[in-house]
Amino acid sequence: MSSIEEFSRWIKQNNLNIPTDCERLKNLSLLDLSKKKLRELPPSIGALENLNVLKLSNNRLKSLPSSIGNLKRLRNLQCENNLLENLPDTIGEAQNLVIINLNGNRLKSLPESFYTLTKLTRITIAANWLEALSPKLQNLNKLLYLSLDTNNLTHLPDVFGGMKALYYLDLSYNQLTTLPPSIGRIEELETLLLEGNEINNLPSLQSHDMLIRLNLNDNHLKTIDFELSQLEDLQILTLDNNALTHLPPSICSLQNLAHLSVSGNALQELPPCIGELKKLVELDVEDNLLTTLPPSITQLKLKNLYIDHNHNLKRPSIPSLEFCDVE
Amino acid sequence: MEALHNRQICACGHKSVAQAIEIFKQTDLPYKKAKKLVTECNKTCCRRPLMALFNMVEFGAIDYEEIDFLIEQMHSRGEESDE
Repeated sequence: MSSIEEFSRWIKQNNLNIPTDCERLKNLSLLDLSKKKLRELPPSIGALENLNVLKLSNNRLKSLPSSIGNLKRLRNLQCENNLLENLPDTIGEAQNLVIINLNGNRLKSLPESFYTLTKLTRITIAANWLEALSPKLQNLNKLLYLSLDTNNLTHLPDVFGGMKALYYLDLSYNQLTTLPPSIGRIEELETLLLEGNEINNLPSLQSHDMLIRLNLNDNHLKTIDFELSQLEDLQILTLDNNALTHLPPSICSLQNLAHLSVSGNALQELPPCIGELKKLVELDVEDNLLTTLPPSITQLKLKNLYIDHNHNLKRPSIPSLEFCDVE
Repeated sequence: MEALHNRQICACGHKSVAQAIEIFKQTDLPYKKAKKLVTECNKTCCRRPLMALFNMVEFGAIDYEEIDFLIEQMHSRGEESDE
């Protein structure tokens, strides 16, 4: 029996609602096996030599068959929310992979062969148990999007300098205390998410003049120790749940800032120049130690304002305001 | 299915999945504020199941099995209340 016939038989055995005709299977370019309660895949899946897209998300897979490496035309592998504990070494043989989604598995490491998948542009491996990444990550220099949030990373290899096109980097909810200097050389970076780490030295950030969104929530920050004013494209800045006692006046020079969130800190005052943030539409300073708001706040064109859980702050008179969490 | 409805979604706030759905349905607040109504805390806890549930409520269709899986996944990572 050929592998295609074996795969056809497996489909029938599992009552999967997909074609079983061998000729059609051989030419199949997209196979969606999401949400089928699958606990394993047969090795015969490797016979689907024309597969471009393989969707395996929301099953109970603990491993992938090594024959996955036979899928030479595979460009998109979706395997979110399974129970994968490792990837087969042969994953590196699927050399045409462009997109891989492994969110929500149990991966503690990636095989060395993973780092030979140099056509990858989009990697999402959030919510796994990754403890380290190989320096060979530098091979993946076509990356546009890299999501590694909610893992157990304590440090990163200093290999980001060659990732010229990377525009999205999510490192939230790891155990990072520093960032590698090369992160400062990612020229096209637009989104940098560092929430839920323990990073306390951020000077490399100021070189990101393309940055649009920066999230530093939950990092035990006591001060902003980098020059904010250089982030001239920044539109969204979130600094919630840190230990900030003040914001630097340089924040007022962020002329594109539309959303500023500093809730859950120890702010005793806001910069008097805050009214200079002409594009600010949302300000969240809930749960701080503010006793007053600066007069210039009335110059803002805010739509949403969160000021509750300070010291009896009253809703300021801002004509554009659509929502304020106090009267 | 009832067991999935009644399962606690987060140790903070002790709300069930069904209770969290009702809270999310009745607020116009964005996720980070609506989440506090469920967990009654300022921590970033239970993020993946809560955020998924919030998005499902907004979308209008709840996938209880996926929420259950995400709760289980959170427990397996040991990160319920101090994520």
